[in-house]
Amino acid sequence: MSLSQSLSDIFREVFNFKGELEDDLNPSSVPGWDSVAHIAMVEAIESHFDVRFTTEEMVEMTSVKKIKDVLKHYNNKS
Amino acid sequence: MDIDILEVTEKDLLEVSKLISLVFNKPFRANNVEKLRWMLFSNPDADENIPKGWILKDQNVVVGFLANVIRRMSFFGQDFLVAYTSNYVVDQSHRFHGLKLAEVFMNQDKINFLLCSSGSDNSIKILKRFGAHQIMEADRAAVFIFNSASVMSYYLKKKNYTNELLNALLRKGFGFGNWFKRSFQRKLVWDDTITIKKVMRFNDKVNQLYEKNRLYNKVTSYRDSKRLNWLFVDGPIERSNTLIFNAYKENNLCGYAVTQDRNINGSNLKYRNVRDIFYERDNPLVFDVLVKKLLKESLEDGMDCLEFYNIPNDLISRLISAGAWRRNLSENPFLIYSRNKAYSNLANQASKWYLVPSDGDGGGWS
Repeated sequence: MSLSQSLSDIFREVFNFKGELEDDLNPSSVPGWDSVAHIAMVEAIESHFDVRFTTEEMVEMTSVKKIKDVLKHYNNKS
Repeated sequence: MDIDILEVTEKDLLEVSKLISLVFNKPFRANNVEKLRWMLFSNPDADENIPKGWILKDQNVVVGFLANVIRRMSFFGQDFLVAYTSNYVVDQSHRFHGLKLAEVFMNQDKINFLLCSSGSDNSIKILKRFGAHQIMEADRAAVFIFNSASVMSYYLKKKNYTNELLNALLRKGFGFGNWFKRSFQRKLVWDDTITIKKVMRFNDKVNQLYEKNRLYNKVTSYRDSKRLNWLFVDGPIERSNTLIFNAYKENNLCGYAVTQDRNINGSNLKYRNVRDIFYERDNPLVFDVLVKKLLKESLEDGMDCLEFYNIPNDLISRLISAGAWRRNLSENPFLIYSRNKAYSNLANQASKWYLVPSDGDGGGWS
């Protein structure tokens, strides 16, 4: 499964977001993306990709593009 | 976005108060600054090497705050330093940066236990992310009702009528005030050798009382005159009419109780809280005598109810057998965390303990 497809599934599960997963999607454009849902999203991503984000990374992950960038960083490490 | 996280100082408190008003959509009140100053910078348990809290700053504007309230506690006779979160607020546009505040709070290395009492689902979930776990599902409050119609009316307005207390009232019906009065007079025992005196302040006799009796309590917060006067007497006047009742046997202090009246916005309910009660545990009659005195005084003062909360279950049971009603406090969950592995096992047992201090800090800070 591609990175985009995995994130799309996670966004559907956490935010009930059924639209196209564009890179510029952010908390302003996704209803329900508040601080609590953000943690749920982060933990869903961690569980799916078997990673553990730092607090700094969690704070950074405020758009689909930024989430992908953080995940790529982990991908490069492995 | 370049956000700084800094230790809070006294000169930040005005901005912090404004932020709290903004986040909770409440009018700014100047006395909130004084309340914060009292809570953080006058706290006798505070340590100069431990931050009083942290702020988030974006281009020199305060956009987040978390207070770090320190207190000493004794767990099974062992002394610990404990930090409570309080006033955890973050501006909406910086909400994800609030995680940094939680992280710095949870990573303190001079603190043995970190505690959070919160009615906010947001802060609970965030603190759980950093390892805190929830404790205290049990009921912790018992309330004597003198005017069931007033209490009923208050809870109905709050739409909080699913708890046992209200169901009981519904079963008994309205206007049974006299029935309640009669029922609680019976089972408490009066001991003529114990005398009760109202005092204005605590003195160092209370320190001796605590030292003599601390091991009888599995978990206690420290009671000393400095701290008790700070908490109940010298603080901002938010809860009016502080009353201190000392119990003496043969002229020795053998217990005390503190009450304060709660002003509930939008309600005429005359609501008195027992903020702390402590006594010689080998003389349980002191508890009965103190409770009887508090009931008598509350009735004479025209109170609608008298509530005890965050006290050990055996005392809650004693009050219920004397006619009080149990009230569910599960809406105010408690979380605990310890970085020290040696303490983690203790923390994991916390739900079996009376961890929540009986002097009302759980609900008294915010």
